[in-house]
Amino acid sequence: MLYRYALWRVSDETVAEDLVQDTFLSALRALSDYQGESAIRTWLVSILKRKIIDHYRHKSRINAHEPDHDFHETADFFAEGAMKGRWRPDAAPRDWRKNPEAEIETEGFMQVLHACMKKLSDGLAAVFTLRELEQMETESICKELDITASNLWVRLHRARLQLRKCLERNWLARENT
Amino acid sequence: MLKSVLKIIKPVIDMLTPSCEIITQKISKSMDAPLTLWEKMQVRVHISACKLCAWYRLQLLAIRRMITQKMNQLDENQVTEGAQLSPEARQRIKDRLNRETP
Repeated sequence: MLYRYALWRVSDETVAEDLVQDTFLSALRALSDYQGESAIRTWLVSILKRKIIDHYRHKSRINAHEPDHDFHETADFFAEGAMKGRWRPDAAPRDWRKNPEAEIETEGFMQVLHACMKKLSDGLAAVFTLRELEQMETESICKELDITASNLWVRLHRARLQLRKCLERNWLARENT
Repeated sequence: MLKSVLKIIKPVIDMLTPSCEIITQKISKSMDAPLTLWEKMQVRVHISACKLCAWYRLQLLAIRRMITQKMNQLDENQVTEGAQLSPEARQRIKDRLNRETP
């Protein structure tokens, strides 16, 4: 269960395994502090959550000095020239006529999301995971990753643009065939 | 002359009718922070005339709902699909824990 929890959030089998191992090691070291107030599973998950945040904070620091065209580049989605700022035809949203939420139980939405998230840069994957999968408040994410609110919004915007497009191509297309 | 006038009024036109690029930024921001009244109005006016941005907004909200629903199921351990630790990985973790145990 811990492995699956980690894997959904880091999209990498080796990293997920390391996080689970670190969680058990930390739990073992802190076993004397465990008061038994919460279920052992809840306690382990709370340790794992902290490890996941640390993982992204570390990655975010490593990549802090890399060029981040990724965060500002929108040429893949919006036109230049006379139609500047309009959707490019190849990136424009399509009508999701069939209600995708109806399919959630039977189709592998999360697997496709997972595959799409692997394509994001570390900086974008970090903010999207903490915001949408961990459901953290924006203030906490800024504090953990040491970024400004505007930087966070730009990164989230970029991540959502990419993921929406990827999901439409890989999940919705499959649903409609 | 016309060019000079356009140069002056273009920023005003841009402010009143932002592009899809600007509106999608505001749609995304609205999922994380409250928009100002002016921003809300800009988004509302734009999506009433632009079906692509209207779809974009609905799709972002749908993706969020689907992720939340699935993650809640996962956290409540109702989801059994997906990968599990391999026997080798379990053994590796066990060995490491044994080494750490005094």
